Amino acid sequence: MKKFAEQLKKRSEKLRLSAYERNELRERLLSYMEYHPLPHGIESVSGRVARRKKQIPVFVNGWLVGRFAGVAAVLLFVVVPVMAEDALPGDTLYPIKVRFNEELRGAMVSSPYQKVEWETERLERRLAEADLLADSGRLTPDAEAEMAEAIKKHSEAAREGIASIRVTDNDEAALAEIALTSTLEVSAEILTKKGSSESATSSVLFGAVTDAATANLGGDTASYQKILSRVEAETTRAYEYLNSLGNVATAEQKSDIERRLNDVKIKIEAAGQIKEEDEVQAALFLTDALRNTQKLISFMTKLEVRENVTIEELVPIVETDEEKLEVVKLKLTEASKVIAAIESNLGQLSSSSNDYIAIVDTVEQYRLLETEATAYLEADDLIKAEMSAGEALELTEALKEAMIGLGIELETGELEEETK
Amino acid sequence: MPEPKKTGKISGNQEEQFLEAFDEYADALFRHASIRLSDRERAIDLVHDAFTKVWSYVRSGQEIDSFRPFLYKVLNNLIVDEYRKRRESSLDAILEVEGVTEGSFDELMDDSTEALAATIDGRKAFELLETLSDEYREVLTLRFVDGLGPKEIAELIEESENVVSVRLHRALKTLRLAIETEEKKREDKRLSGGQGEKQK
Repeated sequence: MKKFAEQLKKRSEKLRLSAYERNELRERLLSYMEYHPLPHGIESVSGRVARRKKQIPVFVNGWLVGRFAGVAAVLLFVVVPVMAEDALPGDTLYPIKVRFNEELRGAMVSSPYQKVEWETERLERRLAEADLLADSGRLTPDAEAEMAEAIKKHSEAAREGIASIRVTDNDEAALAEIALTSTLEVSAEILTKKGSSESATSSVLFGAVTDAATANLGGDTASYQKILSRVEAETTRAYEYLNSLGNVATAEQKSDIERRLNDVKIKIEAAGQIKEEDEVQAALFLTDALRNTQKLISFMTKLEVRENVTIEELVPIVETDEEKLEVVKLKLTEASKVIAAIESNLGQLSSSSNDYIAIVDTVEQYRLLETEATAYLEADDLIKAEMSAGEALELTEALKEAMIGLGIELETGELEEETK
Repeated sequence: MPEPKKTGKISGNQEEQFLEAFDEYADALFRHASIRLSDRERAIDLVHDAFTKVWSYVRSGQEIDSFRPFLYKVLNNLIVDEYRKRRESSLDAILEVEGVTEGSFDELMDDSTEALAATIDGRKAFELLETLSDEYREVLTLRFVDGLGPKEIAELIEESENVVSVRLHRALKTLRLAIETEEKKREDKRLSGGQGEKQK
């Protein structure tokens, strides 16, 4: 028995998590804890935040203990700041968190690029705090106004950072701005969603975030090569996240993400094709690709995002040419069905009446649009074909309405179904 | 299995304790889940889920005296759910396990279970664990991989100690049979292979 148990145990001990798996699992768990912190007031909000930010106290420790020494100083500058890290607006320690801890950390940041990142993180912190306050019913209008003001301040500081990067490196500045805008757009999307579902956060915060997101510095876009290399790095990162999602996301969510990453890939290819003729447009395509990739990454890495926003709201699908073609064809078929029904019922009107003439006239216009759409389809010009087909369908819808207005029911129950 | 106590407060270092529990038991829990499910990725997911569930208990203000049994309990429930979802277990496996309530005297004697285990090669047994039904795999893993006593297992899977003993005994018997069958197959193959060579 002993031997059996030993053998079995020994053999099974070979079965263990790899260091990578273990780290990843721990990270996943920490994220979970961060987004599901211990209730406020009972204990610190988040172990991870406290643990991660221990970098600050360590620094403070070395810096201050040398100068002032003594237990009181340690208490004041180490213990209090650590405790303050988890404070929320309205808490006694909150000013220490914002004015001491965060300012100190901001002062330690050396490059302007890091400064932008740090200000963006502070902005996200304010939003997370607003959220925690709302959850515990403590988000008063005053607190909200304070948060909105802070968001404005941080986004301005981030943009100042971007401006100072621009002096020496336009490309880096443009990339930093893309990252900032992506983050703000994601946050705005979350707030829109929350605003419509519950009265958690009001429009004040939403306004502050959208203002920040749309504020344009008017700088040039980054060069094609620079964005390309960034977009490649980010998509690689995105695929890595996708592969490591495990059951954090459903199979459907994963395929949705994959589909959109594929859209990004197509966009990058499109940029490559037009680069020779129009480099500015190509760079814009890449900017778009980069922004979507960054949003997909936050969708994958932030529970807050996944829980509140659908992927379609964040990064809408880009239809492929085949799909667009299908849509155009469908529209044309629908339109022609309606027209057929209208023509077969036209006999109910007197052929000399103004209505009759107007309808026949419109049907003529429809025919022109239909011919146009078909011609564009043949010429492979999907965009124009889509427009003509759309107009044709709109026209038929209007005609249908007019017929009904004249008291003529288009007696095609089936058709009704289909045109819907 | 000690139930979590509802104390209404969370002691100062629950987060630390929780993470310590992760560092200490993640591997053992993963091993357990991995053997039960024969699916590495899924095992990792379930271990993750077990920890997040336990974290939710902590968050709701319940104090957990000892993480280990609690984690095992939650993980075990998740694995059972997983099996329920799969529902692919053959009718044979279900029939095999049903009616295990009383058990013979022989099966209830711990000594006889020990004697039975002594006749089995543990390394081979490990390879064949996945051929057993989950009910058997469950008790064998808990007993021999996780090193839990019959009483602890009984509490964990909410069965009487008798049922656990009987099930362990039968599991070992089935395992031995599986090993013998495997060996016989190999022997037959070797013989027929040898004959083939002779014929040449």
